[in-house]
Amino acid sequence: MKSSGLIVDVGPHIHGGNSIARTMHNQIIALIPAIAVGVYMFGAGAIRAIAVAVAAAVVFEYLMLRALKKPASALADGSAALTGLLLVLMLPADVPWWVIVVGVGASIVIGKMLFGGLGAYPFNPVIVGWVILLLSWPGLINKWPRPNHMQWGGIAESLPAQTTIEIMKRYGVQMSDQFSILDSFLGFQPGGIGSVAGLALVIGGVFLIARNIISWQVPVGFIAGIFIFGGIYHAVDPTMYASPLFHLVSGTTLFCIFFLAPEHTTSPNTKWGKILFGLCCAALTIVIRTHGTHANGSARFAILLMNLLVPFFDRIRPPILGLPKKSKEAAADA
Amino acid sequence: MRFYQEFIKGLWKEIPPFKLVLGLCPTLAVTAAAANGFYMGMATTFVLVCSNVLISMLRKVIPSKVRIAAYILVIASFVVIVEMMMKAYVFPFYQILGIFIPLIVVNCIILGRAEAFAAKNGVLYSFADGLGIGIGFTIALTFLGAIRELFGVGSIWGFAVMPATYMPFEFMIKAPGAFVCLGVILGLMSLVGKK
Amino acid sequence: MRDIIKMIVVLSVISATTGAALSYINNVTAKPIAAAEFQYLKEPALKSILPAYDNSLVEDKIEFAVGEGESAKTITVYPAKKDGKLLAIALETFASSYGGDLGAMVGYDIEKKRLSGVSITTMSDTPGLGTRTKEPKFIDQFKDVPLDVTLALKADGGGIDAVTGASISSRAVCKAVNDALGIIRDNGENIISEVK
Repeated sequence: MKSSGLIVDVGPHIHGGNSIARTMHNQIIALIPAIAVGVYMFGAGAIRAIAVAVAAAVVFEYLMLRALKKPASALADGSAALTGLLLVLMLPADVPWWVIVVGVGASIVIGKMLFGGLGAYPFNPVIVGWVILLLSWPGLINKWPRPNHMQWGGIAESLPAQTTIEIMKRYGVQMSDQFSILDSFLGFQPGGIGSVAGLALVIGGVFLIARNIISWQVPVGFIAGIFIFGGIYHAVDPTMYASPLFHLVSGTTLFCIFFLAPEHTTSPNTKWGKILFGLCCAALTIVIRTHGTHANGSARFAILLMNLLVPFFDRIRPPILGLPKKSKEAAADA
Repeated sequence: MRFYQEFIKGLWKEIPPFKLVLGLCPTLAVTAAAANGFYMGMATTFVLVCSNVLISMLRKVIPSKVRIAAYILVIASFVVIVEMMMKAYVFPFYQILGIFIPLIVVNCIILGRAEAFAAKNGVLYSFADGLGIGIGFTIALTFLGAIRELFGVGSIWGFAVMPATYMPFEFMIKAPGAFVCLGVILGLMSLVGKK
Repeated sequence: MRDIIKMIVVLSVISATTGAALSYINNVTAKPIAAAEFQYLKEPALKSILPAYDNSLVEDKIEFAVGEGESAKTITVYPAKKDGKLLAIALETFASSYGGDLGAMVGYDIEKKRLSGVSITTMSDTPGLGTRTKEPKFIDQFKDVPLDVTLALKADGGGIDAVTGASISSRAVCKAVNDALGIIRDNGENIISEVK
């Protein structure tokens, strides 16, 4: 996305090699470390869930392309597979197969295709599908299996498997502090198949930024926001509010930061818009997590709400040069 | 013949929530079950028919400058009558529909029909128009309610139709489910109308 | 000028006619409405807190004036009788809670001189939190409470376990029950002699 100047030469031009397919395939590659950790933590059930999700996504996308009379070759760009993959990585590994199918169907049909397909939807389709599942079967998609290879410390041993955020909400910060931040970061915590593995997600995210697939502004804004707003709460009363590091490694925060928030269609286009978007997502995440009832989905709800404001973030842009004075304002309003 | 036409148009050609896209507030809010939609539709039909007839009778008397005030007076009175009647004789449904009964006053369908039809046509035709649109509204609400109840609860009109192992798709009976369901029906109807 | 007069006359006539119609219908439906409200709102609450009775609560209910000066108000007392013998009385008290007024129907067993139960009649608190005060785990704590006790949450030095995350609603229930206890303490004899 770096621009060395504003001069555009006359053609012919060389194609930069960037395409929708390259973007999507790279994102899938970036998820491989997280998938590997998920399989290590949750066993073969994770592989089954991922296979169901990807297959369902491709089928739904194909049916919708046929119904909308669009070329079926659009399947090859991998965007449907990515949607299914992202959704299933937030679900528990032993979730029934039909829940995955309904969720992926909701993502592809309602979240993506009914709005006009890739590039036209106002909300992140993955989060739309997940919210529909949450509204319908909260018990099924918030029932986490205990990860293999995980040492449960102290009192937490006697508790049912639940995310560290749920433990913080129900039993207070003292309880959730028993989980080591490093363990959580490495993936030793209950949660979705791919969303627990903080380190693997960071590796994938850095890979995406390095390859210019996603811009660095949204993740950096998001992480900075978590530290700023989480830090303010934590500074006010450390016994009441968890530390920003805890917020960063718990639940789906890192997953959202690198894979859901920077989604191209539903994030702003300009540099400052992106940074602000990330900051606002983070602020909402912390607020929902601290005061709301849906603490588990806080980061996803935050992104969903901020998706609504993306058109306004896009108005943060440099003034248009070279216009006559009068029409400048008119152009800015356009 | 014209009486029949005015009646029948409300059932498909001008069926309120799907074709006129009016009265969406109750359409979205009370259709979590088929029976709720039906009772809401019946209450609205009663108000619609009565107000259409009365306004049509008074159409030559009411000065045009204060016509909206007069219409609202008539409509509001019938709404209060419906509310008291429901409270007295079908209280459980009054509890379910609650605030949406008084809100029939501001249902655009009723004022819309008063202004667009009853104020310009005779009593008989206004009656037919009110009845047709009202029944169309009832059908639409019951239909939407039945679909949402079928998937969201697994029953229709309170009778279980899905197998006992069915885990309800509760999204359908929540507010966003109403929007999605209505949107899909609107889309399908315009698809059918095109052909 | 004639226009204006016509407008005024027409609007007034319509208003008067509809007003008259409404007041007539109000008169006709007042009784069925009261009966329906009692049947669907109050009766389930009363049934759950009173011992088995065979009289009509609506017909036997009495209005009773309590308090003096500014705190004076009228409360409705429902007597539960079996075979003509007065078993218990129930009365509804209110306390302000998280989402507005909370109403509690409090039953008092005359023989045992203890509460026979408490039931929430109206509340507009957060669903899933404040409304959990309706659950037996919380509300059954008020069963068999003697008259001379003032109830309070454990957090306030009393003996009632609050519903987790809903201390305001829990406190409101305590206050409403305390009010009822106070009314029965001060006026119990009078109420009982009046309903007998």
